Amino acid sequence: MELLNVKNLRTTFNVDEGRVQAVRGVSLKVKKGQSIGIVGESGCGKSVSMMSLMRILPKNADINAESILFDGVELTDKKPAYISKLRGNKIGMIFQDSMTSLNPLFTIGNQLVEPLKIHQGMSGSEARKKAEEMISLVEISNPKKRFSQYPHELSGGMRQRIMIAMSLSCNPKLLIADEPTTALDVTIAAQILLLMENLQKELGTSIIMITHDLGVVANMCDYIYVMYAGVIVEQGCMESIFSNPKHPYTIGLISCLPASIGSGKKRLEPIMGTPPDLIKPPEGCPFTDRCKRAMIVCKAEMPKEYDLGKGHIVKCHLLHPLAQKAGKGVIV
Amino acid sequence: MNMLEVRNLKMHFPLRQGLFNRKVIFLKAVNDISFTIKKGETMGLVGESGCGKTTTGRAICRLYDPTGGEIIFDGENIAEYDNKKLLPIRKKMQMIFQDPYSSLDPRMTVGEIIKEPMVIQNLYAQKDATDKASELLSRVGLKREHLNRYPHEFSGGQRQRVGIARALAMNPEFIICDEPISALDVSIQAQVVNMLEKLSEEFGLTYLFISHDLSMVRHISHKIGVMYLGRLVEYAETDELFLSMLHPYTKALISSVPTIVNALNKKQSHAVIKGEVPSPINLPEGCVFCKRCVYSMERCKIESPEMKDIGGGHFVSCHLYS
Repeated sequence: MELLNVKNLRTTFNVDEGRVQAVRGVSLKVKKGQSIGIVGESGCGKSVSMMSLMRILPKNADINAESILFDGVELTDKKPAYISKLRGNKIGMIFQDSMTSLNPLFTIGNQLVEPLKIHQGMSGSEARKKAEEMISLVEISNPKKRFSQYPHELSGGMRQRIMIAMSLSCNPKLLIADEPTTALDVTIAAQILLLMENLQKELGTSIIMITHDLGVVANMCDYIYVMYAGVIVEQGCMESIFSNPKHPYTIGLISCLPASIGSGKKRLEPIMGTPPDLIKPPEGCPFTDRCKRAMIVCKAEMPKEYDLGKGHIVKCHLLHPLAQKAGKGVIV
Repeated sequence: MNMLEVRNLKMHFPLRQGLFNRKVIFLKAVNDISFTIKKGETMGLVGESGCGKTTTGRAICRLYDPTGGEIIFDGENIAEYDNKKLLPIRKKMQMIFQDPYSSLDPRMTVGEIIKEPMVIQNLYAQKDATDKASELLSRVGLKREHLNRYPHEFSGGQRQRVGIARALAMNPEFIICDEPISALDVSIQAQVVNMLEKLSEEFGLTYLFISHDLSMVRHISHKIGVMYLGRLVEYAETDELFLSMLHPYTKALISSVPTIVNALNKKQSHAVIKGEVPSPINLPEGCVFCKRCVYSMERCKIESPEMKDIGGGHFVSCHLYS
């Protein structure tokens, strides 16, 4: 049963220099209780696509989609007021930087109680009780004391726990976690990931995990989307993405990691160059300029999706039957 | 031949508290650490934020005045040198900073940024300096025409390259790299690390590589020091450390990193240690790690463990091995 089905999402920003096409036709599905991961480098559109779903982008953003089906309801033609009832209620979100996403002027308790009062219509004392429950659910000791503390009195790890408590307080069906552990130390990050895993098992929430850390998605997600320059270039279940990657970008990302070449003193294999400018995105495959196996056709034409079975879908001309025959002879 | 020998380095920062700031307490950012780096070697320093690894780097290149201990650089103890005496030393010791956005002056062109240290050190005439700067830019993979551009025109990875070119301008022997790649994207990280490795081979550079990214430190370093709350808890050759890590903190740190291999083998990668790093202001009496340690004994709470050589240059500071 699908909880979320997004078809052909496009988001552009109008800026002085032109129109930045940040998301260029993203389609994704999330099943109930599933956790999916979206990986990619900064600026590839992974956060923007999720913010487009939540409609929390600035005014200069244009969001278009063929269809966004959430829990059986079509969201594309809904008014902002309807979406704001979903936000924090049916869809929770955890942001990367817990210091700037919590309001420094209000106590932890005040911020935890707010969604409960607004979305669930709880009274003050009910909401307080629930908020304290949530604080202990995320394994923070002494919830009564924490309730009246301010964000600056807590450490980074604890603030991220509060963010998780806040986003889960209304029992959302979907939790969007945008780089939830990037700002944290490894031992704390491991604690937070374990907490999220346990809570997911307990509450059955679906999770969309946005991150650039391949290790994190490998351990947390069942199904993975790899994004590059606003396009999903490869998708598949965790095992097929990491043990049998097909798109040169995915292969490149994995071989950039020191762990992939073992402990020997071999050189890393970086992806040369930088991502394309999205004001004038290339007509063909966006990865052409950095791709070691680029062909003439790559520059001219956006590749179609090749389905390799078991949900492993790759957007690359190399999978065209003729490309196999041509071999490496036609490199641009 | 040792490039750098650090002996019992201490860096305490005074903090004032209480009525009229009369009470002075000390934040012990770096507390009694010792290590040596040979010429041409790369030493990695890892640990979580607040463990004192950056402070160590900054104290070594004397951006701070150390509270105690010796810093023997190229045969000279520079721990108590004044600015005048430090000037010739600075030529041999350079630093690359973590944040490529705040470590380049936005009002100077890239050329001016790279030439500034040469002018201060009186190394080249103006015209030669420009030639040298453009040569350095090509070394780090940028072009001559970038000389007249400003930092905001570059991406993060390119800026970090400018920072590296600036550090190389002095023909240094020793470079302290303070989290040089943590602000960069994965594919760009690999580019910068490869370049650092290549430069070290070409010029015989010695690095102190400070990072929290264990896998990258493992890749680039010959030996690794693990820091926790201002102390070095374990210190060994890279392969030795990863094959037979001893300190409970090192084990916890390494097993906390989520890896693809563990995920594919369906192994739980996080053997999570509980709790958070305590404040370095009121350090616990005994071992700094005892509150989070699963093997903690009575003795750990009372007595701070000494750094012990357990053979083959593998040092560990833990009561379990004494």
